[in-house]
Amino acid sequence: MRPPLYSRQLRQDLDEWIARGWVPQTSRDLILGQVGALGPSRTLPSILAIMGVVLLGAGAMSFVAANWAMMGKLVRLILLLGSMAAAYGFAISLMARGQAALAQAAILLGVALFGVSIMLVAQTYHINAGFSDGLLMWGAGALIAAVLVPSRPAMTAAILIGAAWTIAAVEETGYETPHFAFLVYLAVPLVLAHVWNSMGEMHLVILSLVVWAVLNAVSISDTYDWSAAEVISAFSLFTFAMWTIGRVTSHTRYPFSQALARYGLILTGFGLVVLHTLGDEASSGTMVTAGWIYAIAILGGIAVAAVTAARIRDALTPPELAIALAIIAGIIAFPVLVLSMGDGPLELPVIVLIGLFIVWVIAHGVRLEDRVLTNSAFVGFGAWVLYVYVDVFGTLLDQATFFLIGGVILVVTSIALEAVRRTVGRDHAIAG
Amino acid sequence: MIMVRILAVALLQIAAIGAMIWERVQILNDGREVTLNVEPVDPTDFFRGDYVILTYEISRITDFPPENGSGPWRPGDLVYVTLEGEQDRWRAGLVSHDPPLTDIGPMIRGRIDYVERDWTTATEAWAEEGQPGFSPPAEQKPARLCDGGCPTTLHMSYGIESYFIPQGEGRAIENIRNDDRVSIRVALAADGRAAIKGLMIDGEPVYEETLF
Repeated sequence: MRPPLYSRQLRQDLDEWIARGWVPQTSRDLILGQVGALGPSRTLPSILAIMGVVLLGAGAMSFVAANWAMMGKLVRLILLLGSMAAAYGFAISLMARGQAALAQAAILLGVALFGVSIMLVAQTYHINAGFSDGLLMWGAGALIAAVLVPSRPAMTAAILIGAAWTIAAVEETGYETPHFAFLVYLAVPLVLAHVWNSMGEMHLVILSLVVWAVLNAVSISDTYDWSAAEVISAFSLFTFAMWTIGRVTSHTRYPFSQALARYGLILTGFGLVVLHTLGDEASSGTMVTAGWIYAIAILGGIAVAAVTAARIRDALTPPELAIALAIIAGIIAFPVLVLSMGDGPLELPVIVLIGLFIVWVIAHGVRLEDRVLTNSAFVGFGAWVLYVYVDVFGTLLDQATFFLIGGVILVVTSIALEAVRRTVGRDHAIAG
Repeated sequence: MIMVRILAVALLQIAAIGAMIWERVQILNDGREVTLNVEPVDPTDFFRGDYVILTYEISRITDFPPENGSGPWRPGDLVYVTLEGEQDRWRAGLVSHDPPLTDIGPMIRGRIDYVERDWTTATEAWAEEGQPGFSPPAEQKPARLCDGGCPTTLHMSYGIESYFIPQGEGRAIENIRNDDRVSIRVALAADGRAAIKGLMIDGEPVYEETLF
């Protein structure tokens, strides 16, 4: 299944191509069927149903909260359990009548009411223990619904609730203990996203993983005595390995190769920027830790194997292979170098390498005709130019000159980038 | 088939809520009762109506085994606290990561929210003491030496820190919170889980919890 916007665009284009005689009428349904865009779009009714469900859930919560004092304990409990049963009963009834989209909305309502019930039972019995435990219970209920039914709205809810759970759990431990349990939880949506071939869930899984990494970076550093540079280099190598897997699977039917590649490169860019900004907090101790070496060996091994395989499959050019290997080596070398020479001598080389990395991502995106990646890299390049200017010249020039030159640099950069973009677009048009 | 699956989801979720209720009912019905003095305040939660936040004397524990004896005290740790005292003045007794092996009176289970540390007890100068080549530094050796400072106070929560009351009545309780007149009757399960049975003012029950 392709994104709805793509399907809609393809329908419009096909109608135009058929009118011009470029595509035979008989091919229309075959093409649309191939990309899963045949038949009327159910997006709007589904969205409306789900929005309605959200309102119903909020209404139920507010109603019980507002009438808390007037209801006896037993009445409240019967109301909560009864409303859950009614929502799922409604879902069964809708499913029996073939209203699958509305049935899914009713299941989502059931999941929402399950969460409401957890909160209100906790209120009824004055339970204050473990807010995160309540979220885990809610998320587990949503996961069960997602797997058993199966239900994509429930899975989306489960991922979001899971993210809230990991945030709450990390806060409850004062950011001192890594919350690895969330990774086990996230494995279920990750597997289901693959089974269902669902891009939406895959996006949410990756973004949740990023949230988890940000929340746990400090506690991982404290718990395992990793330096900040070791933590960020492991993160960057992990995200770069995502890109390598995206590339090696790009010529296969694996549906998430492009998403993995895009997220991988963009997040690696962020990782490199964070490495640069660590300053004198980058290193601690006198030698790298054994745990980091194991992690790097595994992630580096995966990344090197994947880029080599990608080259064999012609998914990478020889220069791209060399650059990828250089990036892997650079990420691994940084914590070692910063230990031996401190962060000072590395500051300028890292800024330059980040710039080269962004330029390479632009070139790579252009070669693949990946507009999202290319545009993201262009934005990154603009930010990089601005950062270099502020960082290098900010303290040397007076205020007026600083802004004047800065303005000129930004305008010139934007003109240059626009020129590159138009050239690229024209080349693609000619090639097409 | 899909309808059977939806039914299974419904039954599982309802059973989970049922188990949550049953666990509370069991503690309230069979638990050992203690009365704890509190200092309530009154925030208002938009979604959950009025409730008072309850802080107990046992919410801050200052007498507990040192870290090298009972392992590090960390936020999020589950710990067991025995209660010592009399009818309505229960205080924290022994604190441990493991429940007592024998029945030595009422016991409550809680989690460490925050560990207050005395940073003056952390010193790098004496950290290498006992190692080959160590020479005593000029500064005086602190009485205790802990990595990152010795813990001085465990800030605890026991799952009984909120008491929900009818909307608008929180203010009345707030007004008397500083007079040391509010206490909470708590039921304790054998494994230390706690549930609130009622709120009292001047020793007189104001709110009593029913099972259902």
